[in-house]
Order: sequence, then C-alpha cells, then structure tokens
Amino acid sequence: MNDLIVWRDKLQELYATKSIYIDKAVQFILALVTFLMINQNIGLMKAVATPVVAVALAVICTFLPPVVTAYVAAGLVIVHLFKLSMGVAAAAALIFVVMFIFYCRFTPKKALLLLVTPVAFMLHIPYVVPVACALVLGPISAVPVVFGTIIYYMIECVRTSATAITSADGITRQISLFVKAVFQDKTLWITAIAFIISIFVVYTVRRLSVDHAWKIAAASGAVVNIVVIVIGDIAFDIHTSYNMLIIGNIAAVVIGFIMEFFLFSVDYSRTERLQFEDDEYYYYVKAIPKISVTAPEKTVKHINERKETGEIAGAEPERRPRPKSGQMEKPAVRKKKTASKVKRPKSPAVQRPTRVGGNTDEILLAQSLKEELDIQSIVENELNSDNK
Amino acid sequence: MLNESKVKLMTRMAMYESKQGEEDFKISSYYKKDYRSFHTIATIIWVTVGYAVAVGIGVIAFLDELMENLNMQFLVMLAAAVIIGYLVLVIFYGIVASHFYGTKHEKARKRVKQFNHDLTRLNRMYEREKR
Repeated sequence: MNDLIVWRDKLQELYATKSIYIDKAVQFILALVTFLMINQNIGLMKAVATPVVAVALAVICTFLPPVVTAYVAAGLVIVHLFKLSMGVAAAAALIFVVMFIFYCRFTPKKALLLLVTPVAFMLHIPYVVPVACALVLGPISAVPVVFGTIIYYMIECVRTSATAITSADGITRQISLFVKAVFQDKTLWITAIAFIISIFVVYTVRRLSVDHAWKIAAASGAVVNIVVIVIGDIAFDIHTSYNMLIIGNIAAVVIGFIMEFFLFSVDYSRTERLQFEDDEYYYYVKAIPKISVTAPEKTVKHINERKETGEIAGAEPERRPRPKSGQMEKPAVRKKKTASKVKRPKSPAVQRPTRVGGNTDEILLAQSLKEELDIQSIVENELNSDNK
Repeated sequence: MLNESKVKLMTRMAMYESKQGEEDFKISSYYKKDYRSFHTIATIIWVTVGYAVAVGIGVIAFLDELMENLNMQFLVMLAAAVIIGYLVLVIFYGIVASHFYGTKHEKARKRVKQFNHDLTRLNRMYEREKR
C-alpha cells in the first residue's frame, strides 16, 4: 500500500510539473477519439470522414480553448448530417444551439463534459460518467451528462435509421422523423433519468460524514443505475443488455475507487472526534487524517580508495572551492558514511595532527619552566632556613 | 543582485494577470448586485431564446399530430403546458444564474484583492531597495 501511495505522490508531482503538456495531451486524445468516433458512426460526408482530417482537427483543437473542441465536434456532426438531409442538419444544429444556451454559456471551460458522455457510450462504459462526475464535480454536472446522452442517441438514431429518414419526402417530414426518433426513444429517457438520479445519490452520499463515503457513493451510484434501468426495462420493454449493464457498473465502481485513491485518500483508522463550543455554537468535529508517506530518500555511498599511510600524512587536505558570488552551488549529495570518516586504530607510526598544532611545544616549555622555578623557590627557601 | 522573493511575487502576479486577471478585473469593476442582476437578466433572455427554439423544433416534429387535433381545448392546454414549462425553466435558471454569478463575483473579487495586496508588497520591496 505504501508503495502505491508513493507512486501516486510521484504521479501527482509529475502532473504538477508537467500539467501544461499533460492537459494538452488529454485534450488532444479526447478530441481525436471524439472525431474518429463521429466519423466511424455517421461518416456520411466522405471528404471529412478520413483519419487525416480527424487528426488535423484534433491538433488544431489542442491549441485552442476546450470549448472549441465541443463546437468543432458539433460542427462535424452537422456536416455529416447535411449529407443525409439539410433539414436534419438544421434540426441537429438547433438542438446544439439549445444545449450551448442552457449549458456552455455558464461554464465554457467544462464544455468537454458534453463530449465525454458520448465517447463513454461508444466505449461501452457510459455508467462511469455519472459516478465520476458526481464524485469530482457536483449535481449541476447532470446537465452536461444528459445533453451528452442526447448527443449519443442522436448519433445512434442517424446510424440506425438513416435510410428511413432519407426515404421520407419533404424536409419537414425528415425533421419530424429525426426528432421523433431521437426524443421518443424510451431508452434515452430511462438512461437520462438513471444518470440524473445516480448523480444526485452519489453526490449526496459522498458529502456524508460516514467512513468510506466515496466508496459507498460509487457503489450506490452503480446500484441506482442498475435498478432504474432494470425497472425501465421491465416497465417499458426497452431491451437492455444486462451483461453490459453489470460490467459497465462494475467499471464505474472501480473507477470510483481509483478516483478516491487519487483525490480523497484518508486514513479512517486514525479518525478523531472533537467537541467544543463558543458563544453561539456547539461543534462536533470529525477529523480524518490524510494518508501521506514520505518517499524514501536515495543515499549515495562513496567508497574512497584506501590510500597509503605515508601519502595521507604528507598530503595537503583538499579544499572545497568556494562558489563565486551569483553562481549557484551544486546541491550536496548526502553521504551516508564515507571511508575517510571510519574510525581507524591509532598506530605509533602515523602521528595524527592535533588541533592545537604548534601550541604543544609552548605548553611543554611553560610546564618545564614552572617546574624549574618551583625547584628554585624550594632551594632558596631551604638556604634561607639554613642561614637562620 | 536578484531578489528571489521579488521574482517569485512578480511571477505569480504575471501568471494571474495572463490567466484569470483580465476577466477578474472586468468582473470586479461591477458591484456584486449589479453584476449578478445583469447576468441573471441576460440568462433569462438566452433561456427564452433557447426555449423558443426547442418549442419550434417540437412544433415542426409534431406538426401532423397538431393539425389532426386542432381544436380550442387542445390549443389552450398546449399553450398552458408551454407557458408552465417556460416559467419553471426561467425560475430554475434564474435561481441558478443568480447563485452562479454571485459566487463568481465573490471569487473574482477575492483574487483581485490578493493581487492588489501583492502589488502593495512589491511596491514596498522597491521602496526598500531604493533606500
């Protein structure tokens, strides 16, 4: 577990230092996947439905604000639908306009959420989106998730009933067929309702002060998805694949757990409950410490070659060059224990230089003089006593 | 001689100015009440446009059914449903917009305050250097 936490911290550190490049890479990948999937599902305009165009558009979108990717994706869908029918393209454009009015006006920076849901649908993991959005964002993320669901079913509708739409005579009838096929699809509404309820449940549970709130929230979101869709399936006979439903929701729970590990890693075993008061309130505080593990520091052990004793005695101690002013000193490598610091047995042959150095002779001289003076004073005292 | 803390402060300020600063200065030039009211009204206008477009698409899609059931009672019921739907949407978006833009103004004001505080600190550093 500690290794995982160290690994997580390293990843977070890496993201902190390289966030510009990582964000741009993610934006590029999301744009590319979106454009490729649009081309694959409704690539009616052959000139635009090539991978080269998708890559070129993705590269351009990478260097522009995220909302532009959403606009380009919408534009690409409209271009393909134009090949199918002008009326259908106009209806799709108006649906996109409504979506942008109701959502992108508020948070253009989060417009990518509109793309995430259809991409997740195409990757067969749509149930991950409401759980992940509710864990990271808030209940308002229900709006882009529902819009994303509508976009996916719009694409799906064109893919499955393109022939029926084109065979209808008159633009009005084509629009009518297209809009009815999209918005009278019970699967769309049941999925949207399941996602909305799931988002609200996950968000509410995540904010509770119970232990393992994130895990419970992710699991409850998945359960809500399954229950609502199964009820819808039974009540409205919509033929949902139960295998995909269960596998998709297991994936949602797994993703929820991974997100908890990265974003809300706490140690519930060391929970502290405090109670205090001031003039106006009583406070019941639950403090849960975050899990943090300090990464083990790498120590470099330098083992110097053993030198001859004569060389050591005669050699001048090497001085470290002082850094010039304004020049950064290289950070010192921490040495654990160098060979020069290892205690060596004292040998009579090698006299180790003492700290006092030249003062030793003076001290010895002073001692001998003192002794002589003492002897002289003793002799003088004795002579004086004899004379008396 | 480079002053490290001054360089750090200036970098932080430059980063803020280039990223959020421009929008924040524009937001904080309004009073909170004015900013919130203005954007709530703008949102209501946009929601009205969006709703009209949505109803228009609905009318085109269900034109045949509408023409078949064209009687006074049906039209009154339909109009009532459309108006109720519009009112619910406008009230919902009005509340959301008011809260959203109020919070946005508060956050922008706080960041601008911090920027001004940094500016004062930087000014003091320059004065100290002059001495």
